Order: sequence, then C-alpha cells, then structure tokens
Amino acid sequence: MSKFKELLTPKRIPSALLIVLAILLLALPVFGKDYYLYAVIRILILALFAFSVNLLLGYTGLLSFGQGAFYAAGAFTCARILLARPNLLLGIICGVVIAGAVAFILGWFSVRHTAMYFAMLTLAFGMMIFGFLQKLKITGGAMGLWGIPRAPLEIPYLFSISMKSMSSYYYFVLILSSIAIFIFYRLVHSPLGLTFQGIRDSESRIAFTGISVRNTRWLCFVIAGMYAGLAGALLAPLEGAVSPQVSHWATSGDPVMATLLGGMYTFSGPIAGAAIYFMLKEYAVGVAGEAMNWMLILGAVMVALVLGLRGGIVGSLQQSLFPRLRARFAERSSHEQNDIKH
Amino acid sequence: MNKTILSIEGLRRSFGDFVAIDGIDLNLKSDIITSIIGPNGAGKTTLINLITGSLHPDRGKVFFNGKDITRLHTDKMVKKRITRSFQVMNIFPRLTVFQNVELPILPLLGKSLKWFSGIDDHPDVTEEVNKILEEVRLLDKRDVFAGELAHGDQRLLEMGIAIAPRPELCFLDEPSSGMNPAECTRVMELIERLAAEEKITFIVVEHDMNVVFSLSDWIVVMNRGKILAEGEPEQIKENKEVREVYLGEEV
Repeated sequence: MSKFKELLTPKRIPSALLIVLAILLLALPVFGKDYYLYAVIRILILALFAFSVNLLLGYTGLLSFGQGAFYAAGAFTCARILLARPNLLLGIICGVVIAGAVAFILGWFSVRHTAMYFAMLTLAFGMMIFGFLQKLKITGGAMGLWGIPRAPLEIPYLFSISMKSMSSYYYFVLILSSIAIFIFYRLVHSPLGLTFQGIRDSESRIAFTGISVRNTRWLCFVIAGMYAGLAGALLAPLEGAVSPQVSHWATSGDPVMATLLGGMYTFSGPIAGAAIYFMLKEYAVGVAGEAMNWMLILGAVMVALVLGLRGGIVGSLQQSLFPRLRARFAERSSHEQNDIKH
Repeated sequence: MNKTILSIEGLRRSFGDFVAIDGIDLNLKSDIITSIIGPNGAGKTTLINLITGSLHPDRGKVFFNGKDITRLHTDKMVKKRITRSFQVMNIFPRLTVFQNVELPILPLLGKSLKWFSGIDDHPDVTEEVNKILEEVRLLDKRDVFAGELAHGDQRLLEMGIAIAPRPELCFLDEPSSGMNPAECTRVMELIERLAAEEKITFIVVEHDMNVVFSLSDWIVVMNRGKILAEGEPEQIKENKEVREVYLGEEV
C-alpha cells in the first residue's frame, strides 16, 4: 500500500485517472447495455463539438453561437454521402472537409469583428444556414434526411468492418475521438496554440509581435469548424436521421454550456462538461416527465453550477483541489524524510 | 553622423472636429534616445499610433529609412523592425513570463504556425527567449504568470516583449508610469543599455521630466497637435515657449 502511495504523486494523478478511464471505456461493451454505449458516443460527440467552441472561446477569446452551422454541414454531408455510397470513412472525411470549407467562407466575414459583433455575426450565419436547410431539397428540406445507414468502415480491396452493432460503432467513435482529442492536445500546446492564446489575452499586443491577428483567427475558425463538422459527421450514422434542427442556435448553445460547465481555460474541461451536461439533461428529461419541464430543471442546475464553480468544474479542481493535494503530498514527504532521519 | 531613421511629412489626424495631429513635419535620427513631451492632450500617443499603424492619418506620410510606411499594417511594421510598448499595460496576463516573450520570438524565427510540435521543442526559440529575459532581468521569474507580477516587473516584461523582435526602432509610451523611483531607475538603465548595446533607436513618450532630461539625447515638445520645439535637453530647458507651455510645471 505504501509503495502504491509512493507511486501516486500529485503529478501522476491525471495520468492514472486517464488510464482507469481508458480501461473502463474499452471494457464498457463487455458489461454495458447498448444505451450506455449510445450515451458515451453522444458524450464524445458533444465533447468534440465543445472542443470546437473552446478553441474559439477558451483559447482565442471568441464566443461563437454559430458552431451549429458547421455541425450541420458535417452531419448533412456525411448523411448525403452515406445515402449515395455507403462508406463510413468517406462520409466522415467529406463531412469534415465541407464543414471546414463552410467555416473558411463564413470565417472570412466573421473574424473581421470581435467580442459581441463576432458572436452576433456567427449567430446570424447559423440562423441563415438553418433557414437554408429548411428549404434545400438536397438536405431533405424541413424534414431532413432519414434512413442514413451506419455504413461499414472500409477501404476497397483492403478491409471492410461492419458497423451495424452499437459496440463496433462505439469503438470506431472512441478511437476516432481519441485521435481528434490527441491532435487537439498537440495543437493547443504548440506554437500555434500559444499564438491563439496570445490573441485571447491581448489582440493589440500580439499585432505588434508580427502576427496577422485576422489570418490567425481565421485559421482558428476553420479548425474549430472542422471539429464541429467531425462531431456532426459522427452523429448522422448514429441517429440514422438528421434534421435542420442540428444547425439551430439552441444546438450551438449546447457545446457553449458544456464548455462553461467544464471550464473554458482548461484542456479537459469540454470533455468533463460534455459528460456532465449530457447526464444532467438525460436526468432532467427523466425526472420532468412532461415535455419542456426538463429545461426548467436543467436551467436551474446549470445556473447553480456556473455561479458556484467559476472557472468550471475542471478549472475549480485545478485551482482548489490540486494545489491542496500537492501541499498535502509535500507535507507527507517531508514528514517521512524526518522520520527516516530520526 | 547619425542617419535619419524616421521622417514625417504633413501628418494630420482629426477625431470629429477635434484636430489631434495638425500637419506635423519631423525628422528623427537613428541610434539616439528621443523623447516626445508635452502637456496632456498634446497628441503624443496619437502621433505614435499614427506612425506605428494603430491609427491611420487623414493625410501626410511617414517614412522609415526612406521607405513609405504610411498605413502599413501593424504586423508588417514588426517585419520592418519597428515595435512599441503601450501607455496602458499591455501584456499577456494568463501566460507565463517565458511565453510572453516567446510570442514575438516565434514569428521572428518563422515558427508561429507550427501546430503539432510542442512549445518547448524548439531550442533556438528557448535560447532567444532566455537571452531577452536575461536582458530585462526577469529570467528568475520565467515560470510566473505575467498577471501575477509586480507592476514594475510587468513594465519590464512589456519592454522585453517590445525588444524581442530585435527592432531597429522602438517606441515606448510612458515606460515609467506607475513606478516607484527604484523601478524607474531600473527601466532607465535598461533603455540606456539596450540603446548602447543593441543599437536600438528609442522614441520615448514620457511625463516624468527627471526621466526625460537624464535619458534623452534629443527632445521633441508637442502642444495642441503641433511641434512646439525640438532640440538637445539643454536647448529645451532654455526654450522660452516651452517654459510658457509648462509654466508651473517641472521644466
């Protein structure tokens, strides 16, 4: 036991938690029902969506209420591809690319403005896309697209893996999300990630370091759009249907809430926020019974959490719990050293 | 003989009916410390903003080493080796001291768009940042968050950010504001050392007359958007018009 205590230093706690989480997630299909697999997939999708928001909000200081537009671009592109040619990888790649392209176009207009103007512009673009999707025949109009197959993961002449069972799709989403999260981790800890944070802290200062603020914000907007697109592309085969509602501003609000709940200045905040937000929503819907009452319950809990935990759940843990743990560990080590001396 | 580093021709800028800069002509020499002084509202900071591209002039031209830089975008100014500090503290408070200085070094070494390598994976960047931190005497605080530094250290850090791109011309807008005498001396020593060792031409906007007269090789006096006088510190001290403008003040 003392050996275990020695190994578990405060610095190693996050890695230890990550290993435990990875084992639990990998083993989940063995003992979990399909609903739990579905729930984890939805959490991972929301986490990717929240990463998209947090890259803009937490790392670059831009609040976007229009990420639903790119989420929808990813979902509808993937759905359309899968309906025409059942190849999961092709659908997802196209979803990400088209979402990036839409972000590239809308970003050109949006990143010229900051703060409230940026938020309002993204909201307006999101609602425009919502209006478009209601009318567009190729996306099924107001009814959206139905009967989207969960196509096999295949590279012709090489391999083909069926995605019909929930567990196989679960593993696919788990692996793809892990890769996307790893890339995100590298990105935000890279020179480009530092540049994003510099823009967040002081736009006028960073302009005098030789960095084009507008172009860097534009690049950030496109990357964020691609992450939202990936989340949307993973949603379409899971649900088998996509409606224009995915581009609604209320959908764009979900990842914003998840990010605020988890902690917008932290890397893992959006993941924790997505998990808690999803579970809260499910719980509220279950308790409320009557339609729409769940919003009241969820709203009240969210207000309490956001006001009570400024900096989000992960942010608060980092500010209060981890320093205390570190102090306690340092105290314990010094006591042990004193005991040895005596 | 020092060459002319900065030439301003007929620069004008108004805000509504208020003319902040009223047709200024000015030539400033390289490798010296020039101070711009004047009463509040004289147009000193507006002049810096116009030269460095933070504001655009209504008319007039700005030349740096003979090349027209009027309306050049701020990020392009840095590529021409012109930098500045700000009147109101302007640092990156949520980043560490090291990262604050790293930000201007990254584009200088062509690394600001690297997106997959770690921040600490570039020894040339680390070496350059350490050098700058050594120069501004903040190496021992490299891992402290900039927002947690004392005011004087934040001012030094701001200077570190300004000199990190190895500028030829650097504008400092009230570098000693809010500092105690000891901190003020540190900043003055730093400016003098950098001007001498790194051959940086400084143009300083300053209110503290002790700083101005002990630091400057050349002084430009502004009043109501115009140049009132310019000359060596002793000439400015003796200037009658300057005395009238500063009547009751320190000069």
